[in-house]
Amino acid sequence: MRAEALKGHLDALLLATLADGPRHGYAIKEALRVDSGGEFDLPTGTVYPALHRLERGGLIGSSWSVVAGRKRRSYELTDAGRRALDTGRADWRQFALAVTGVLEGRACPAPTG
Amino acid sequence: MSAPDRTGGTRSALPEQDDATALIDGYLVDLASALACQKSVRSAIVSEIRDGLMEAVSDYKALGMRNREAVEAAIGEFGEPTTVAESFRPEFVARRARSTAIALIASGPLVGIAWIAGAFFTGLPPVRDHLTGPWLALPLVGLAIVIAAPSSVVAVVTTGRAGIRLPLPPSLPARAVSIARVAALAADVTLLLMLAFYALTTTASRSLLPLVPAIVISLTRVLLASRHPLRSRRSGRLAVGSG
Repeated sequence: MRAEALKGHLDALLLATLADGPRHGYAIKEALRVDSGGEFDLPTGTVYPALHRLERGGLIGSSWSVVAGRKRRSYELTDAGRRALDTGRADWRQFALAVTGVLEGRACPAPTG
Repeated sequence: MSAPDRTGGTRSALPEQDDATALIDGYLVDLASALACQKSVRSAIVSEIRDGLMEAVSDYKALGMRNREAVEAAIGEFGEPTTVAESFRPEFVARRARSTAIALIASGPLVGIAWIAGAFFTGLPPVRDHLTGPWLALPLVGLAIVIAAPSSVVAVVTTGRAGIRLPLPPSLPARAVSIARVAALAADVTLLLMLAFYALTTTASRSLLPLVPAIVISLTRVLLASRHPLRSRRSGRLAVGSG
């Protein structure tokens, strides 16, 4: 799947890969690929700059460590990032319901709460 | 996925391990050269990409590939270094816009206080009398400040969390900070020119020493504000072997 198709959802997807704890850039890239069943095999030039952008926005933080003799930068969610992920999940559920309602010809149930 | 052959045939006699290491180092040197950013940022990105490459190599080797094959596959997966470097450019522009805007906001009051205090202790006409001669241009400084201050705030806000949450044009922070830079430059140059004209034309004997701090601060801002925000760093060098 092309990165452009994820426009508007990439930030939430990246945040979701960090929901269970810190990960480094390549592990995030791999988590996106594996968890999507191979659909989201995104280029390096998409994932790493997006992580830097999320860090600038305060949604994730990063720290450096040394692993196998080389520097490693790991990312983790901030409190603001967790809130943004919750919002992203809720927005996606509502969006998916609405799209399914239209494409499948079924009425979209009103959002609860 | 096929990786570009960077060995040019001359390294074929090297042991496979050295050859693979040279491939990765060559890739990272190319990446470092193509990254148009500060040295510290460039070093961090190269370290991060190196770690990612090495992780990818490990993954490919776990699939049964030989070392050289795994390195080529990892490099192929990461893509051309120039493409990777170019993808970071919007982030560099945003970070530079943010730091420039913060510097303008922080230095604005300093410039104002330095000039007002200098004018007060020097007893310049704008403090003593109504505006005459070169000081008639003083309202231009006020206009520049009215433009620079909100533009800087817009640049800071749009390069923060709001820039991620709101559907803003990607070029907005860079445009806002460009306007702020030009306005701040205009304010400083106007102040310096007014003082220069006054010093050259006045008949009053008055020491301008109290204005020296203001002159130094404004000249520094003029020099910094007139620098291009993102220069290409084709000659960027980096110790890629340091991990």
